[in-house]
Amino acid sequence: MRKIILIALLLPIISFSQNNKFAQLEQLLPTPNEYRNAAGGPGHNYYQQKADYKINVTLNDEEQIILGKETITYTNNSPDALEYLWIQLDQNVRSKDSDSKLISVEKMEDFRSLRSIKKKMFDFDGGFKIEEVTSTSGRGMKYFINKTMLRIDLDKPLAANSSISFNIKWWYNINDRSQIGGRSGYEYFKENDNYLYTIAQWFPRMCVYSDVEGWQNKQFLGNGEFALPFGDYEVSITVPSDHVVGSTGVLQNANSILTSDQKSRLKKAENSDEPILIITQAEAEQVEKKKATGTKTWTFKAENVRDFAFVSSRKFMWDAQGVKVGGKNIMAMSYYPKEGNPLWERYSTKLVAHTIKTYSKYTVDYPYPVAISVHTDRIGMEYPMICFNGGRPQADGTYTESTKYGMWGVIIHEVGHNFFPMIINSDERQWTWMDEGLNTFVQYLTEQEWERGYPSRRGPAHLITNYMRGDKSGISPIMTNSESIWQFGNNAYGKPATALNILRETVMGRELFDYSFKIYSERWKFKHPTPADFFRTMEDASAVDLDWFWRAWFYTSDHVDISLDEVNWFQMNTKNPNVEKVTAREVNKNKQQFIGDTRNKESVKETVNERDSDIDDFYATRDIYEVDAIDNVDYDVFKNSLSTEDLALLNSGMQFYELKLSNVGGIPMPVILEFTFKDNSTEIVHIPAEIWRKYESEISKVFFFDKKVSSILVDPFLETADTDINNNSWPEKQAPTKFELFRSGRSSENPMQRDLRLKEISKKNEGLQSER
Amino acid sequence: MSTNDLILLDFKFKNMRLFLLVLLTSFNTYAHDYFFAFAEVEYNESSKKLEATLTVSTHDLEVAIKKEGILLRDFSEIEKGSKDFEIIENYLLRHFKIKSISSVNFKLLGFKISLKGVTEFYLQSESVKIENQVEVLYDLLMNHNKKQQNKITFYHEKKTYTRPFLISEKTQTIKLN
Repeated sequence: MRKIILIALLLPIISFSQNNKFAQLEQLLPTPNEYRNAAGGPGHNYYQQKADYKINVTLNDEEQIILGKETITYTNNSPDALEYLWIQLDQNVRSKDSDSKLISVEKMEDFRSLRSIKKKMFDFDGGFKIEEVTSTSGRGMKYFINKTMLRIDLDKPLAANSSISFNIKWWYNINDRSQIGGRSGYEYFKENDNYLYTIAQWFPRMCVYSDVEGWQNKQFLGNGEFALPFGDYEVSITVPSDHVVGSTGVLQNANSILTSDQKSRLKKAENSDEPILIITQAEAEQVEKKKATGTKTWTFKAENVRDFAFVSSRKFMWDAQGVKVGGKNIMAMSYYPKEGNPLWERYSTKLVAHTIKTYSKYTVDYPYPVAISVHTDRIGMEYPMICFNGGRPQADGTYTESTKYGMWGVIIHEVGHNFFPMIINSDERQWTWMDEGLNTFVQYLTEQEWERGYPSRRGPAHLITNYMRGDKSGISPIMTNSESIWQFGNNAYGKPATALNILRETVMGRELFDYSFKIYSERWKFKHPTPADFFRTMEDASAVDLDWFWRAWFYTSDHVDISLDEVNWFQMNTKNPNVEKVTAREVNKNKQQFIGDTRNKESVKETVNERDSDIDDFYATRDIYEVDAIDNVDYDVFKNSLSTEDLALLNSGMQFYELKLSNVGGIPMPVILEFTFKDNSTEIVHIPAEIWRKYESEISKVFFFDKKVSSILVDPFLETADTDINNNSWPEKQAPTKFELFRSGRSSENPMQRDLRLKEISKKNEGLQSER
Repeated sequence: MSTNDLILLDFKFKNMRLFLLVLLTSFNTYAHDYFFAFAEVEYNESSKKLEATLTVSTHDLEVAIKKEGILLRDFSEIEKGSKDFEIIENYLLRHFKIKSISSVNFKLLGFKISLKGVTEFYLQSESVKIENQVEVLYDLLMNHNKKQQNKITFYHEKKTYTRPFLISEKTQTIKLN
């Protein structure tokens, strides 16, 4: 019985702590251990596996096929013996029996165009064709393919701290990216019968084995990207002899591959802070006109990378410049066909250089020798040291401002991925936000250092409000597995980037945030962090309890809406009758009149007491606002009871304001208030989010000033992502809708439209003049 | 390239309905991670008109219209009153409809392209009477991308109503109270 009573008493406490928005995160986060410590860093026994690759690959340009053979050396640094090894076969997402096709929900109305039907019926023979898996001595190894995963069954378990080497031989048909999509593939240029290949996820790659997941062998369904161990690569790529290859890593046989002009230009570029063309447009145009029959083999080496990608085409221009980061000279480079110009020659490499410099400042020094941006049509996709980026001008060489900013944004974003997840190597298959969200946040910082007022699409708090507000159908918390997220862009890119921006600008401040973010990056460079490691480090390095913030922003789909519901104004009663009675008289004089009283003054010509002087007695004739001798004596007694200091405070004229606020959206946030006074001066008050810790729905707070307040505004700098600013003002003020702004002419014509109109007018004028 | 709308023929065949799709041309598409369109709608008490702003990914809309076989000039070059303007208006009005007592007729007044990758379209209705509920269809770009999600924020008598739209829920009823 006593037990039952105890449980009954404890229940409300337990339930309070679990539902409380400020409850600590311990219940949700994994217990710290020897591999990952409570401070958010790697534990004293942290380990990670290593996978080294030696690969020979041939690109068949006639049939668009990749043929490869690799030797993987896998080192087991874990304390566990491994009975089997798991290898990723990502190309199988395009194989005929792919689950990705089967799990996509369809309706007949989805097939309203010829393309959509063709896509549905398209019978592309994709996927890896595994020819053999053998030991280094050539003996066949037992393996089993489960969709996008291949398991090698070892004769005896791979012991802790030991290695195994084995060979895999394979080939696959390269996908036409413009027809069936994909992160990699080829683009066909009909005009001169040429191909531009962006080759990635092209070889069987080791899965991650870690203290968190064991083998991360969750099937690749298309959204959740990659989880990969670090390793060293030596890759020999055989392509048509007139192709130019760009790749992860450093070219090992430049002497036999490049022309002497190209080598000397490359040398010059090393110390140039402006891009130098290694292959000019004129040279590339000459090459693409005809096709060589022979082949060349380009050999690259890359150390401590988690993946390897390359590009190949006879259409490529190539430029490069040196960038100094952390005492090292890094080659920023770009590869692009003439279709990318004039944008690419002008901006791409400069953007690469700016991105690695800026990211290095906020995270870790860029550790690799090269950083490459490659032009593709439309997509943006990242790999170590190399990425594929859209941003294609129109055929006549002109481009819109949107195309320019689109290209700038995608290059900064994809080059930025070198840091998240290529160096700070999180598990993308599990958590998209850990690389996309953090990367989008630093992308925002980088864009703002590229151009003042850069129109960043994501980052500023007010840009996420449309997504976060209202009904939550189809909105998932950030902490949702990559394959189950609704709205990738807003959920995994925009919202976490905004959350980090709010931490930096509003909750932690720039110094604490930047220091902690850099500590996280340093701690986890070339390692595998998890969300808990990030959450813990940010708190541990800053002494700011952020559990409430992670809980609200990452584990719920609540939104921010803080409403200023009520403002009550108070003044101190001085008890001085000569002050208070005068004030009372004023208040009475100015009080609102009931309409009946106003009308009666007109309609009732004379009342009885106005006619009969005997009606009004003492009460009717006395002046309650008149100061008499007793009032003065009472005040003297009161004054004598106060110290000089108290009396001064009483007579200071302080104005008191009691504000009542409610948390409509559910996310507790700092309350930032702007008080504007009668003399037009302003004061900002910043209340930490902890004000909501015991009163989650409604709070009240009293402020005092030595002057009268004329208005109050919540979130005056749009820094908290408040989704409804119509309840942020006192006196109440409706923000104009977008339509009202348009109607008032404040946004009807952008500068580009005006410029077009101007050109149109001058063209007409020219026409008129020539007619004359 | 030219044209075309889908021609959908519907035959009864035993117990099954047979749909015959006749299509002509279409264009390639491209999808990215920005699959949201927003609508902000307010009932203007003085003019008795609905005023709407649709905020849409510019690129997605360009591609979606292109997919229907229509080649438009770049949005920044399209002037009010032009044929292209009319095409955009018709496209938007097919995918954004409001009904209260009766169907509401909107007109596209203009649009503004933002460098953040979205375009705001400004629509105004004729004078309408709004009763205690409105029915909204907002399936803009859903044919283009199944992951498309749209959202409306409806302002009426100082109250705000927000509703999401998914491919499985293209229509929402907002009860005004």
